[in-house]
Amino acid sequence: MNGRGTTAVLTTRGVTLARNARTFASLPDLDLVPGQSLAILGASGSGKTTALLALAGIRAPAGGEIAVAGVALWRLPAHRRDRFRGQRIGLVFQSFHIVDAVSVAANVALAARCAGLPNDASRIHSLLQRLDIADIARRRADRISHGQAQRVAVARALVNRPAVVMADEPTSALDDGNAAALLALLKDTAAAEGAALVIATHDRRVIDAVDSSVTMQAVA
Amino acid sequence: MTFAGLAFSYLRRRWGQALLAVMVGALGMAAVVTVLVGFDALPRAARQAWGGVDLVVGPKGSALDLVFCCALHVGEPRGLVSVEAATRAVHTPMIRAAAPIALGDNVDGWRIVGTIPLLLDIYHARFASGGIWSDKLQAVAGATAARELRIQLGDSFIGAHGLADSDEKHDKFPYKLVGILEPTGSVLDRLVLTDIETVRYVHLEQAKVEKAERGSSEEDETAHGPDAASAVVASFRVPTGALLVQRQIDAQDGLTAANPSFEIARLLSYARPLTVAVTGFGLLLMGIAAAAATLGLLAIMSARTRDLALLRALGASRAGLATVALCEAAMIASAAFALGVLLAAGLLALARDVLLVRTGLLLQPELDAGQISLLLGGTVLATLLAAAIPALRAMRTEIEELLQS
Repeated sequence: MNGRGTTAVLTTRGVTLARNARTFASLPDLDLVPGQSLAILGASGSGKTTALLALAGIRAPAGGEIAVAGVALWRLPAHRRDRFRGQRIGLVFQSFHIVDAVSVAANVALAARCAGLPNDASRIHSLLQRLDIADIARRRADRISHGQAQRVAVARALVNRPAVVMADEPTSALDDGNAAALLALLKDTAAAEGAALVIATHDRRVIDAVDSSVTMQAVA
Repeated sequence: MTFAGLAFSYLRRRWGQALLAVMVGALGMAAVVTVLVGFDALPRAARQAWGGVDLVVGPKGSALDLVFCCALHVGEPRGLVSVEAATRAVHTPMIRAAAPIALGDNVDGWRIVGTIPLLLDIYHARFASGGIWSDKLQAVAGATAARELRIQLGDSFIGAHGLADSDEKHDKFPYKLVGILEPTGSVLDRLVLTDIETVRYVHLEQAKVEKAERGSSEEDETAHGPDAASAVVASFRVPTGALLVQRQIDAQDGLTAANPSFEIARLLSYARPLTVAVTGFGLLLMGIAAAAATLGLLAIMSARTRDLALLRALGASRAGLATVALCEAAMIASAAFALGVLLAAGLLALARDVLLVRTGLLLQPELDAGQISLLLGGTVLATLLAAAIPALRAMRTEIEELLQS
């Protein structure tokens, strides 16, 4: 992995993954610096989503070390790991998962609330402006378009100034044009916010949009 | 965006279901509050109404009827009693004051009571203006009666036969108002008092007039005899002697003694199963509301699994997720509590007005600290019961469900 002369915000060493108590995949070692983007590639069932869960501190790896912003993620107690994830890791899901009972701005503010951070209205406003959705800040989330929902998901992932943004199959249901637009949005915004970007995908279109990629390795 | 704000947004999103839970809970709360407060206020209202009357002595019959008729002035008299016999019966050192009362006439529906000035002593009444009667056909009005009849000192008015407004006017025997009493808070405020001899006089003279008009020589059976009254009311000097005096009088031929306290307590003891049933019904409604809220929350939690997983992914603790469920239940319970209390206040206000018009009893409902604690405790318990299962379910939400959905 290339360095860019700054400290790595995501480092992994010897990460292996298990399913039903059996190790089935390994993740190549990673060193990501702020602004760098990476795709984790693999076919369905290769373990890329499991790898993303491990990197995000959600499901423990079978072995190896994962550090985000210098913190060994899996050495933290569960409740502190949850809080750390909220503060330092931004997540973008395949279907965005916007809470449709509340407004666009409230969706973004929820990320700060869940992470135990103060609500920073000006930060939310500037993010929404950057993503060109400030005009729908007060609109309830079930009344926005799919494209707007993408942007809300990106804003929510970035609002807490994370060290790393992780996205799971963000382009799998999109045509070429929309996929390219979303990837550009993710990459540009993460870079502008000084965050590294990790995308788990089987979509080969992502490869051209990111700085580098790795492929999940099966373990016999 | 706080978890409470999120909970409110969820409620607002499914307002119909939330409103239903609130309405059922409010009905339960209203039933419980109305029974708790109303059945507590009723004996107090009665106690205030009968004022200083500790004992009513009347003809043989129902003691409760006697209390209703001659202490609370809401029932019809059941017969006449000899004033001499009744007065002799209450002539003991334990009785502070006793006065006969003769019922049978009204003015525009307000009872005219023939009595003696000592009755004012029993009710601890004082004159706001004027004074006691000094001649026949003079009257003294209680504060409410004077106000509602719009009569002032020196005004004349016509009585009518019976205890309710009727056409049988004694128009040849107009009364003159010579005194108005200060409010006492008792039933006395609603009475028009006159000398007992006036009542006898009016009835005898009216009977003569009617007989002359009919050209009949029959005796009028409705005319009061010279010694007859509806009852003798008395107040105790020593309240502890109540039971003894009552038993002594009851043992005498032709007399019944009734203690308003005992009789109302006895009546309410008969009504106790009803209060228990209504309270139980109210609690059942509250339970149904809690169950409805639980099922609603559970359904929402199921539909909201991805939202909850999202909150966990964003860093929310398991306790934080439970807080959302708890907040929703608390909001439903708070709204049900407030609405229920308002509903109960409305019902009690209506009951107060109806009771005042129909019986003169002034219901003054009030919640004491114990009742407030009971209601708040019940509400908190219902909230916890409603939120427990959804909260546990929320706490068990796994983030992986989000990524796998």
